[in-house]
Amino acid sequence: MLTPNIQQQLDALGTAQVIVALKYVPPQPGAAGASLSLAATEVGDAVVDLQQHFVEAPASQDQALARSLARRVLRQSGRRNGAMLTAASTADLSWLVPDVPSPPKMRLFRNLGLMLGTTDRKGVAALNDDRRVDWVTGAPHVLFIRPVRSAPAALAAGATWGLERLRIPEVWAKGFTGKGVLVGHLDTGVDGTHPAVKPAIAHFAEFDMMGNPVPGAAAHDSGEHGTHTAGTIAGRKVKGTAFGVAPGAQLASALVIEGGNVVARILAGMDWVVGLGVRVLSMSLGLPGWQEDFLPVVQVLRARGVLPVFAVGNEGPGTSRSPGNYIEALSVGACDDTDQVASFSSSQRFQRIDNPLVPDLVAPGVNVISSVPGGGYASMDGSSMATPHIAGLAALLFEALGNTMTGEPAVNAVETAIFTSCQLPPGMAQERGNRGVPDGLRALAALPVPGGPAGGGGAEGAAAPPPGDGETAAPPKTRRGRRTERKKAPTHGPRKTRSRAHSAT
Amino acid sequence: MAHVKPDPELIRQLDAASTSDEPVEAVFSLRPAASEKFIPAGEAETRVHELLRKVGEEVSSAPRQVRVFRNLGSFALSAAAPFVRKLLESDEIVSATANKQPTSMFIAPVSSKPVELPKRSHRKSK
Repeated sequence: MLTPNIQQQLDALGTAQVIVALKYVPPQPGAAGASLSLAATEVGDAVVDLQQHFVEAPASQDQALARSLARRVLRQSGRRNGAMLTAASTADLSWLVPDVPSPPKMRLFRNLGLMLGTTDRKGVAALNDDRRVDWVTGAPHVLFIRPVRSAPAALAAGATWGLERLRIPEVWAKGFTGKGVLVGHLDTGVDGTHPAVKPAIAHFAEFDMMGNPVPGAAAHDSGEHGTHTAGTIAGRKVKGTAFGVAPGAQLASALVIEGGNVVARILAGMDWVVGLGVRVLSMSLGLPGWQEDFLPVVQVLRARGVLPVFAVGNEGPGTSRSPGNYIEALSVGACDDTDQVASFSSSQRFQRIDNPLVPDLVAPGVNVISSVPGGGYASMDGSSMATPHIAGLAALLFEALGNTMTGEPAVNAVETAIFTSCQLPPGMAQERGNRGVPDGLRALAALPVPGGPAGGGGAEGAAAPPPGDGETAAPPKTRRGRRTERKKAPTHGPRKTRSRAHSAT
Repeated sequence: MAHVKPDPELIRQLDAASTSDEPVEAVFSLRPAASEKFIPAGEAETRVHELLRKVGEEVSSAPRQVRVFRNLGSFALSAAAPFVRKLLESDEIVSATANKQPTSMFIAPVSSKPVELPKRSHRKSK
């Protein structure tokens, strides 16, 4: 019987990372052996036979980590050839970096009698049936643990690097600040006294473990994460420094995380913001791996005219979190100010035809300066920091769209405009950054606003702005939602073979 | 079980609860009608309570707590394990998950450090 962990991996990826325990009993002097156990000498034979059931899987975390390491080695060695780095996404790495070994498809831990590797459905069945195998279980995810930096940093007056990178000040110059747009913000809460975010908070709520509202809750932060992400979405300028993408937008902010493992509290927050009429929902939450349980709810969000902007996770290549890794979500990874995807930023390729790669795009997520409780400011790293940048950008675009479009068509139009504006910087692997980094000004031009450059054609007819010097025009990316059939646009980057459809049942 | 593939953690909690009287907390999504993109907010409560009434009659018990998320077509409840298991067999349910998950959903920042904003210049801007 398949364990749920293995079943979920097979459904989503077609393969699963597993631990196989051999029926291995170390030899003991004078003791009678178990009815079926392997002597130390038989382990080798068993391993030779059983390893045929393991497969090389480009989507596995090991392979993804190895490719990521190879790209880092290439960059550090000065071989910054963009074509080579792109090729490192999919090609055999040994000729590029001979001293970075490709990971084996199976590892044996002889003293433990355990095998670790990636297998497919057929392989799992064969391993389970083999009389020499005691049990097969899914391998746990590997998590990065990073130290907290302690040295304070300084910020020059002006806009943060993230705002500049997304060309947000240029969108402001066109007259759009997110005014009139309500953004949903589900997080640890928000400090209602902080001068940068206080003017932005239109609504605040807190929910108990069963999702019931806590009466009379005043805007507060149970940590510091929520105040930071709120500031990135809609923080007002302070002391000449701008760090909020949509300083004219309003927030409907709810405290849904304390520990973050109660689902009803999060759904209550979603239910509440939908009832208030938000147009974007920014959420830096997710369960590791593929978990289908939020799928119906995220579909409802889109159908009700809410663009779900979710963080993809911080566990590195070959990983992602649900609901960020759903087709229906706009998933965001993190990049730094040298246009590299942050090593911690999750990315994963799924076995489905529509949008197989997550995140959808990357945004500034390293050294992101924003507000923290108590009136202070902090620099943080994470896909959680990248996500509110895109939520804020969406708010600017919703303002520009106005009432020309509402509901799900408006969601699709804004999302398509953001995707259309994306560019994959030279040296950024598509496998890690997918569409690349959005451009606020190009996204604005790509909106189907009547009388605008892209107007008149509806969301699907939105034209991309003309490319600048040295740029290649990216074809518009559309999303095929579960309930909306769209023509799939050609993918940007190296030609890929068509993957099997993702099986959800 | 009908159409839903429940969250493995929910199954684990149901199995654990079968040896005690402790209620199980779970979150469910209702299946919209074929003609609907989503369940209208005004109908969600009615449909949830009708479903719970039907299940309650079959197992001769009632949930201890119910919270309907009317804009999402979802609900959370706390009920005895047999009630939850019977609910999982309903055609009306499209997803089911344990309310309390063993893993945190919080995507914590990788690092954090305090920052000082620059002192505002007193020179007049041009």
